[in-house]
Order: sequence, then structure tokens, then C-alpha cells
Amino acid sequence: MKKRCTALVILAASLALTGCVHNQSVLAPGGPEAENWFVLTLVLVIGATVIFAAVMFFVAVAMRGPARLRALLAGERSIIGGGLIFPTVTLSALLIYGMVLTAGQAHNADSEPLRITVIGEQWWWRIIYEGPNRFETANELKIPAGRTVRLTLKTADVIHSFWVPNLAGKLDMIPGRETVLTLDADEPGTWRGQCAEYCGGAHALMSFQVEALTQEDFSEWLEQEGGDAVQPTANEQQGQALFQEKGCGGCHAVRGTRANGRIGPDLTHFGSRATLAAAILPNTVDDTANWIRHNQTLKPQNLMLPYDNLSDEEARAIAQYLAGLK
Amino acid sequence: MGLRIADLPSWRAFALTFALLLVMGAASGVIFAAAGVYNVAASKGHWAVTRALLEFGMQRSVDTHSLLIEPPDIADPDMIALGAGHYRGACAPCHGGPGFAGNPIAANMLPPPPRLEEDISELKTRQIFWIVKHGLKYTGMPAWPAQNRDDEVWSLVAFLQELDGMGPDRFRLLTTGNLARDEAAPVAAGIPSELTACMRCHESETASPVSALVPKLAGQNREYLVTSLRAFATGERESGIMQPVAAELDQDDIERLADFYSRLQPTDGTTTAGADTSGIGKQIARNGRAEDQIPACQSCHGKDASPQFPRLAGQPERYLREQLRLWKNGLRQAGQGAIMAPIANRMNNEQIAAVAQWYASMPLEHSGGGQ
Repeated sequence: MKKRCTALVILAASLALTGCVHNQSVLAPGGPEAENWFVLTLVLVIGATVIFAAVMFFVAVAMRGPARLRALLAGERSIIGGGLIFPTVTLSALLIYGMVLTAGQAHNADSEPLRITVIGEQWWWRIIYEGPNRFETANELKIPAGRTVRLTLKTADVIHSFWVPNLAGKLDMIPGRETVLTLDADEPGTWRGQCAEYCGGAHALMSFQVEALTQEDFSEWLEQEGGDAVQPTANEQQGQALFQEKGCGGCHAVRGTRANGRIGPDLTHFGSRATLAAAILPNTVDDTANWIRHNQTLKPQNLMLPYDNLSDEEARAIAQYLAGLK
Repeated sequence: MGLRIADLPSWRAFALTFALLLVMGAASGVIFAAAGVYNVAASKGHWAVTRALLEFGMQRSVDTHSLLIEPPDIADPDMIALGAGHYRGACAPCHGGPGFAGNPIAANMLPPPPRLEEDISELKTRQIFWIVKHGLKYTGMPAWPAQNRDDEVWSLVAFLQELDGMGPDRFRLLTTGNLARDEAAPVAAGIPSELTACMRCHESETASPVSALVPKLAGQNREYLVTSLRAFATGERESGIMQPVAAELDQDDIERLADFYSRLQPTDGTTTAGADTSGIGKQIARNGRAEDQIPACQSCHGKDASPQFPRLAGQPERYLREQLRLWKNGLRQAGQGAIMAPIANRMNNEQIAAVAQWYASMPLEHSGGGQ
């Protein structure tokens, strides 16, 4: 299997497709699920190309070829062979191949996969790590490399679609239903995911990041992420006071403080995330302060309230506090 | 010898004559205006025929334009009391009132502003509303400064309907609100003169607001009072009742009034508390309702929240409900109101009523006055 994949990857490279390979691409599979899809894609693309070329060849023959060949093409045998038997055999084979390939997905799962619930919201991702110490985070999915992850996908509002091209195929999140996606990452790495179903005005601004960590790093992260927020340092305390008195806690939770809102993203360990606002901005103090005051300009009609009338200093103080929430 | 068709002027001759008359008419109009012969003096008045014609045209226009207006129920003491306070400041200077002469300058306008206690009964309710909202061209009657606040206009109309045949005592009682009977007294008693406008509707040291449509200011956050007065003055917060009052205040006045009211001890009394029997109001106020994306009201309106936001405990239920309705109807979207706007939009009428009831039933928390 591995060998064949490698051969096919080389073939893909020869087709000059590697120019597209990066951290958000189906052409650079980062795990067995994505690899299966990649192989299937290559088989389909290459097979279709070969068949197309053959058909074009026969068309050329039919128009300009020697009389003997043209007579052969016009015969009943060619029609039955090329028009009936060939498609039936090819499509049936492909169907069986595809079914065997994707059925394998469910079987190669670990007996005890890591369970995570991802809820699509307009326009961000609520991520819940299930287990005895169940906790919530947002827009950044951390997984252990080499272990199967079982994602339960739901939506809080409209249809979204969860897609990390490097790790798995896309799967819709449908109101009133739960869908399940398994994925593995072979090696540690960072990839980008994107909502793949139009879900309203800011659909294009609904991204997220997936990071695969070594099993060791992951356990450490899980321990820390599941815990309460760290105490603010002296120069972050003003920001915390503002965060509380300006009502931020009405929508956001910072575990271990009285901010216990459930409407927006949990901010308990906001400072440890690489991006902000569903991976549309880098997580810096400047960008956070800018987001707080101008979130409706950056992502129109998102559910966060327009805090435009906070002063720049106030917004920066709050951003400073949030940055400290490692 | 009978008239024959052929004797009549041809259509060409007819058109030519008509065009000629038109040009001559226009030319004489220009000459008349340019010569300045017409007297525009207000002291001169109109000819009886001109006056009759103007009045006829005005009445017909008002009637036609107000045809589709459906008056709400305005036999409402809260609306009447609010309308009365506004009448004293905005209408009485020109129109006067029972036992109140009004300004003699206004009496010399052309046409002179009618005495409404005598004339108001000639108008239908919908016509009064239309005139108050839109004003009348060429008469000096202005339009309502906040064109989106029909609710305020109706409060004034409610009072105007009461005005028909009203006696001087009731007029003074209603229009001076919480001021002492003699308007000079509060000033003499050390109340800053700017407060005389406030106290027509809002509370005094001894009395609650005159109407459940009027918020309680005693003990309110000083910063919020300053922000609100500025927003009213600029029209950022639309109100035909508050804007004229706030626009006359300078920065010092605003600070002094905010000081006065934030320090004022709340009077006990006319909280029109309905019980929040469903428990929905308490639930939303304290915990919000995440499934509807409604955050807890208390996160911004509780006693630990920023003084930028108003305290709501003890406010009249009706005032709270009406303000939430304004947000839902697309008002108060600018400035500080922008924060509340999306939340009000996420609330349904039942939730709005329940939250208003819960806050009205809570004891008023004093902010501790100025900082």
C-alpha cells in the first residue's frame, strides 16, 4: 500500500502538481484517511485522462483513418464492446474499489479513539474534548499524531462542512444530526481547515487550524488546556477588570473566573492559540485589540457585539489580559 | 345664420393664443414679484379670501395625508403625563395653554399659533398626529425633530386630546410635573435652573418620575448620564423630547446634572412592578439564554459592571420594554446603543416583557454618585 502510494505521489509530481502542495491541500496527505482519498483521486484522474485520450484517438480514426479501421469502428462489435461492456466493467470495478477503500476507513480505527465534538457556528468552530475532564476550546484542533481521532460533527445553526484537506475528506454538519469523521495524522504537523459549505456572509472567514503533536506533547497540552485559566500578572489585572466590567463574560467563559458565558468561544487558554477569530488573524495583542473594537468590520454580522466605543487603551488592556491566558 | 364648424378658429390658432396667454401670465408674475409690490409683512395679515383659501388647502392636505394613520390607544395616563412635560417646554411658548399666555412674540406670527385648548377638538386624532409629526409649511409649525419616534409623538397627541377644555389648575399640575407649583421656587431653593426642564418629567428629591415611560435617574451611573445627555444633544440617540432639552446644555451643565442625579437618593414608590411569574426574566437577566445568543443582562447592567452602562434595577417596566422595542425597531443603533442593538434583536416579545418585569421588581441600587 505504502509503496504504491509513493509511486503514485512520484507520478503526481511528474504531472507538475506538487506546485499546489502546502498545508491546505488534498495533494499532500498527512494521514491514512487522506492518503486513501488521494489514491482514489489519482486513480480517477489518471484513468479518466487515459480513457479520454483513447476516445479522442478513436474519434480521429473515425474521421480521418483508413477505410478498414473506420469499417471496424462502425461495426456492431465495437459498439457493444466500447459502449456497453467497457463502461460496465470499468464503472463496476471502480465502485467496488472505492467501496473497499473507504470501508477500510472505519476498520483501521483504534479500539479507543480520542473523542472530540466539533460544533460549527456562524462563523467559528466550538471544539469540545470529551472524556472525564470534558472541556471546551475554539478554532484550534490539537490531536496526537499516530492515534485515531473520532470527531462528532454538529452544527449550532445552519449547514457547515468540516474540511481539513490534508487529513480527511469533507463532511457536512447538518442541523439536528450528528455526523462522524475519523482522521489520523501520521506525523506531527500543522494544517489548515476551512468550512466547505456556504453558511452565510462570513463563510469564507470560517477557518481553523489543526495541529498534530507527539503523544507526549499532546498529553501535556491536554492536561494544561483542561485546567483553569492562569492568574493574570500585575500588568494584566487592569485588562481582567475591564474584561469583567464591560460584560465580556456574558458571552465568553474564562474558567476559574466569574466569566461563564457560553455564547462565544471559550477564552480560558486564548493566549496559547496561534490564530484568532476562526483563523483569520494572527493571535497578537494588536490584532486582538483591533478585533474587539472592529469585529463587525473584520467579520460583518458575526454574533460578537460591536464594542467600537471602547477606547484603544481599554481594548489593548483587555487584549493584553487575553494574551496572558496561556 | 347658425354657427358652423368652419367658423371656429382652427386648433393651430387656439394653441397659439393659449401659449401667448401663458407667456404673458408668467411675465406679469415675474414683473409683479420683481417690483416688490406684494407685501409680505406678518403685521399686515392676509385678505379674507386668501386666508380662507389657505386654510381650506391646509385642512384638505392634512386630512388626505393622515388618512391611513391608525391611532393607538392613547387614553393613557403615562403618555399624557410625558406629553404634558414636553408640551410645557416645546409647545406652550407659542401655543400657550389654559391660564398660560405663552410668548407674545409668537402671538404675532402669521398665522398666530392657535390656542389648542379651544381649537384642538376641531381635529381628528390622526390629523393631530400628522401635524405634530410633520409640521406645517409656511406657518412656523415645525416638524418633530426625531422622525422615527412615533411613540413620542403619540404621547404628545395623548396630552393634546386631554387639553380640550382643560382648566388652568390641571394644566399647571400636568405640565410642570415634579416642579413646585411656582416655577420660581425650585430655582430660589437652590435647584439649578437647568433642572427645571428635567423635573417636568424626571424625579425630584421627593417625587418619582411622572410617567412609567420616563426612566429613574436617581442613583444612576454618572458616566452613563453624561454619555446619554451628549447622545441626546447630538441626535445620536433619537428623541424629539430629550434632544431639545439636552441640546441647550453645555458641558458644565451636563456634568452638573449628572452629578445631581447620580447622587440623588432614589425615592421609594411608583415602581410598576409586574411579577416575573414565569421566571424567564430572572433567568435571562442573571444567566442569559445561550441557545438564543442572549448574554446575561447583568454582565453589563449589574452593580459590578462598568459605569459606562446603565443600572436597570428598579427602572419602570414600561420604560424598559419600550426601549427594547425601539432597538428592535432599528433605533438606538449608533454610539453606545450599538452594543445593545444585536441583543435586543435576539429577544422575543415574551422575553422582553419578562426581563422588564424582573428588573422593575428589583430594588434600585445606588451607584454611589459621582466619582
